[in-house]
Amino acid sequence: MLIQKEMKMADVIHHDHFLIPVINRFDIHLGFGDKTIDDLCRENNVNTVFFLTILNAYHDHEYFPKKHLQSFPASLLVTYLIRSHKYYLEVKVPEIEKLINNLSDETGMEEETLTLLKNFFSEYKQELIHHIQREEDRVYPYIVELEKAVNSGIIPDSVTRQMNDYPITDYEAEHENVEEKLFDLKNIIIKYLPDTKDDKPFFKILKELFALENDLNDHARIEDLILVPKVEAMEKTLKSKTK
Amino acid sequence: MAYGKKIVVVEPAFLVQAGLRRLISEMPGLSLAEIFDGNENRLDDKILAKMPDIVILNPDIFNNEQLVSLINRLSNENILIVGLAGEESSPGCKAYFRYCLDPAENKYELLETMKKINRALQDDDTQTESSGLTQREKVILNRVVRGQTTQEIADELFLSVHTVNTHRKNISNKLGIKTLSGLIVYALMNKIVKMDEMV
Ligand SMILES: [Fe+2]
Ligand SMILES: [Fe+2]
Repeated sequence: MLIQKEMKMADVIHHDHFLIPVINRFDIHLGFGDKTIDDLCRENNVNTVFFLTILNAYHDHEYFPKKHLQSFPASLLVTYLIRSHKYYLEVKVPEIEKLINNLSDETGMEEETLTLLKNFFSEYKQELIHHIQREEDRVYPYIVELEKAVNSGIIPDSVTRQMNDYPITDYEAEHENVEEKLFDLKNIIIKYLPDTKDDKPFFKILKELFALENDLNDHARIEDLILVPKVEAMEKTLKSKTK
Repeated sequence: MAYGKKIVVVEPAFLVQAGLRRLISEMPGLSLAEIFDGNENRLDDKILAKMPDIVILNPDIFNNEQLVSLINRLSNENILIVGLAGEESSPGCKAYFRYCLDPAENKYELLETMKKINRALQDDDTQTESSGLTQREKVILNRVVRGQTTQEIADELFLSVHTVNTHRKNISNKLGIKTLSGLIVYALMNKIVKMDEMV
């Protein structure tokens, strides 16, 4: 399904309910009635083209919005990405942490083993935080500045410097490491979990880990396939102007 | 991250792409890394960048010269190449490829071929066949998780750096654990290393 603005939001959600948390990040809430996507975007002051791009990118993993790439500002994308970072760090990760911390009462597993799992997850969390901080401190502000420079024609030195020292192409493909740890954690639970009285609590943890992985993959795909090309195009524009 | 052996597909037709996607999704232990249309610039580099174990490609979209050079390049990297053609439509298919998938076949015939391909891959690296780690691998894993470098391990066990690296790769492949922290958790849980051995 290619999601389009004249579709009813309710129909879209019936078709793919995984989009609910995504919609939520735009402050559009359940109880859509028969409103179309366009109606809801107007009501909530959301850029429709941008909204559709994000929805489609989550819904269809092959979706690549060549045509629409230029029709919304990069700063919107950055705001959206920061909101989803918040969701990972403030909602998803603490949820999983809580599940892991409750394991000892529920499974009767050796304290030592549980400590290993806890430490492993907290290491993963540190890595994720580190990745996110790097983006929010170094990459995203640059993108916002870059866009301002493209629009105003005034190019601050800081932008020129970063464009030369750390262009967006260097930032691509930095997602591997964070993914690997999460994958290992899943695999350790699936393949190498020691005997327990009750492994049901682990079902829930696995389900959450798979969901987090999925969401992070979608997030990274948006960064790599939508944000990066957009920034590349802006860098090119500025470079041709400064020559 | 893709799980298991990675496959790259080179085929422009959407319906065939979608069929292959479905077929691969039904094979545990195989995963689809990327689909190319075949008209990309520097296609061979792009394929290799995905580090596939298998490449399924439609020979009809290349001229003979392109096909031969692509096949050579991929075979040099030990990639298993599968032709996307029936013996009728393209009688030469078997001459180029050890395995061919015929788009005209039904699902179960195709799944049989996929199973054969998967098995061939396992035979290629017999290491992954056995489930547990060998004694030697356990010794090396013990040292890895204790923080020794490949060089140190090689020196102390009188092995070449290359051999130690091969062991490390085999360990990661067998266990399905890539990160050092993951290996540490595994080794401690399975008593390959004791807590007090850790620095
Ligand atoms: Fe991010
Ligand atoms: Fe990221």
